[in-house]
Amino acid sequence: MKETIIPIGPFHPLLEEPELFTLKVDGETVVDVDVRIGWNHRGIEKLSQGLTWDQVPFLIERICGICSTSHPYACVLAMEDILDIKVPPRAQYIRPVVGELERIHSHLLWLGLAGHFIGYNTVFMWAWKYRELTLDSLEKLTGNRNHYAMFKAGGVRRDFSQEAMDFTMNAMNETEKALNMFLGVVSDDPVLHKRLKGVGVLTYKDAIEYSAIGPTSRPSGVDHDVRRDDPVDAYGPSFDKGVWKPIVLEDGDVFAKAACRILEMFESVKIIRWCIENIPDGEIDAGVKEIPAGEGCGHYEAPRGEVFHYMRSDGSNYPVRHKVRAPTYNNLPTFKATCPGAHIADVALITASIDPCYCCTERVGVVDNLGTKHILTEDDLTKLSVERTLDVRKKLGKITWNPYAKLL
Amino acid sequence: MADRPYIEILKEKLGGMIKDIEQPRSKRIYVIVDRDDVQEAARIIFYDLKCRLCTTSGIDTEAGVEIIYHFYQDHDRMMVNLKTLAPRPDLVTKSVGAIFKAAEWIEREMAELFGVTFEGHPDPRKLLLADDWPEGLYPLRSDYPQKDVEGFNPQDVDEPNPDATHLL
Amino acid sequence: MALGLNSLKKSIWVYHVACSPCNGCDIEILDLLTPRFDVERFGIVLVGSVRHADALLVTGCVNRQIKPRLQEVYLQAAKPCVVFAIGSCAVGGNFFRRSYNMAGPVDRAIKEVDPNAIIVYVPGCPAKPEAMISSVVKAIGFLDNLKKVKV
Repeated sequence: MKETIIPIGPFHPLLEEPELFTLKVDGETVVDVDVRIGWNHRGIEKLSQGLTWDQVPFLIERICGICSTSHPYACVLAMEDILDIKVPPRAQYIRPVVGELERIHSHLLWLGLAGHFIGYNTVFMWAWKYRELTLDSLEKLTGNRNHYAMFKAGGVRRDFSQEAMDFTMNAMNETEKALNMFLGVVSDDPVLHKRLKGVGVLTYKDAIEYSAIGPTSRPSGVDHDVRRDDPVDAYGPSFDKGVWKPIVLEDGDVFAKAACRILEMFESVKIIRWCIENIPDGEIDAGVKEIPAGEGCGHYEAPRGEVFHYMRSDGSNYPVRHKVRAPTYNNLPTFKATCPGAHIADVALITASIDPCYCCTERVGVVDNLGTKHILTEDDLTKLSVERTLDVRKKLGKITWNPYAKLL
Repeated sequence: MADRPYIEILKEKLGGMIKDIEQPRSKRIYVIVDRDDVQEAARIIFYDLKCRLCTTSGIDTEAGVEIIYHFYQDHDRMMVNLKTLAPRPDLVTKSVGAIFKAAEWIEREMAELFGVTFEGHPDPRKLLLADDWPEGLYPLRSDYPQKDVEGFNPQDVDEPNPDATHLL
Repeated sequence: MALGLNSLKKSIWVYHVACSPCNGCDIEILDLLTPRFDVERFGIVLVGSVRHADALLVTGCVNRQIKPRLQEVYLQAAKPCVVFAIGSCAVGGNFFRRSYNMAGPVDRAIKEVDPNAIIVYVPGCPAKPEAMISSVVKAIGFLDNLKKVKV
């Protein structure tokens, strides 16, 4: 049987970070996947060693524009681990609000993109429309749409105003309505069920073996959530009072991952409401002057999974070592478990399901073993996708006429 | 939650492999083992104690590259940090990536950034740095020549660009 | 040249090139397409192939691995072509300018292959969608002036 290699990337036409996937395919079935990262390597760990403790969170924020709360959060937790202090009560409630708003905006972003990957552009536009509410709240609360610059060792940099908190409460009410709509869309639509169910299943065993985290492993039945398992700030008391719960599902396919993310957003809304209702008055900063010698670890549940930071100090102004681990780093290798056996058309979806934001549908160059190169044109791809959609529709048994006859 | 301190369980499981163990804060344990024992110790922590591998850090010190495997036990809420040392001059240690897949990528990355050799690694290819990165140059070592390597200076972009035209 | 530049003034089709960005600017670019800002009403469309594009939206500070690919993408674009360097990283390197893996800001990489390239700088970390729309408007005005001088 002839084995074909399909390179995807590093610039895929539409979206986000450059990455190179090499698919080994046999016919239309994927045999093996390899990923080459490094297109985005900026040497942040080295840069961080040349910055003072106060400057580090600003750099760390710029690791990712989507997780720009989670990284500084874990980073200041690592610093506070060295210091062994707790932050003032008001700061403990401000931090989770920013973190959970970021989770909502990230999950809505993912939902839109996932809709886009399966050709459901209505979901793309709607999700991004309602995401603006969250971004507006963030802008009111922190002063910027991304990169909030809220975190410092021992507290936060900026207090919430009452007006901004009222605005956020209203925005959360609106967001919850939109979320109910999305939940309806995902649970009712038969095409989505057909397209997402049973695709790219990550088994419990593989999730453990790869140490997958966050919304990649929780739908596979791995019961962990850093917010619950290592509670910091207001997450501990709110969980103890039963305000929210981690979402753990069983199936491990793309459908479960989508459902997990949508359900998580409801939990985030609850946490934000609870924090804003119960926020105490007082200081927002513990006034940390210096970091003593020692080593510390901090981790936080980012939208995509656990963010991990390790810092070592020798008592000077600069960190000696700062190790950063982003969630996708652990989740990306799970392709090796989920992709083999899948259709090429599903690979974009499976890879998207861990949320690295990725698209390959516009133009794919196929290089076969003889070294000659064919380019699949958009027409070919349209034909392929139309055939596949028809297949699905026929299996669903709801289609009696062929609206695509002209195209074929 | 376990009914006795987690550090006791760890001491019992790892036994004679432990060279040093301490618990500076309630949720953090640091264990130091020899580089020959690291595979077995990691296997016990990962499979028997059911910890999750968070990541691996490397730190360039005078004695060699210190390697720390960070594990987290979600059920018992304990972070176990397994430390070992790849001593100078050869910087060789045993690969934990050969035991479980979670450590594969991070060890590839450390081999690139620190020049540590992981014996028995299943897939020792390049992961992060550019394809034309020179051999034998490791950016996270403390002796990395920031200024003197031909073509690999940090870019000096502080001067204003004379060609720029202001639109308004 | 003048005719070509004139043709750039209406319905600019853009291609998005992410060169080791942090995603902040990238999601703001996508924001432009969605209902709040909706630049499609001005005829600005994100296209899938660089060969269809009138403008490149480049984000991020260019690293060693991606630099040859960025230059390749620029050479593949139909000329004339405007390059928008979006975000502080693309304009000047931001935090990352002293990193060991960086090859300099976007204008250096582009000018190495085409010294006459037109580059529009949109600073901001991340650049706001309003700033991007404003930059397009200003760039069109600039092309207008350029045309008058050249003819």
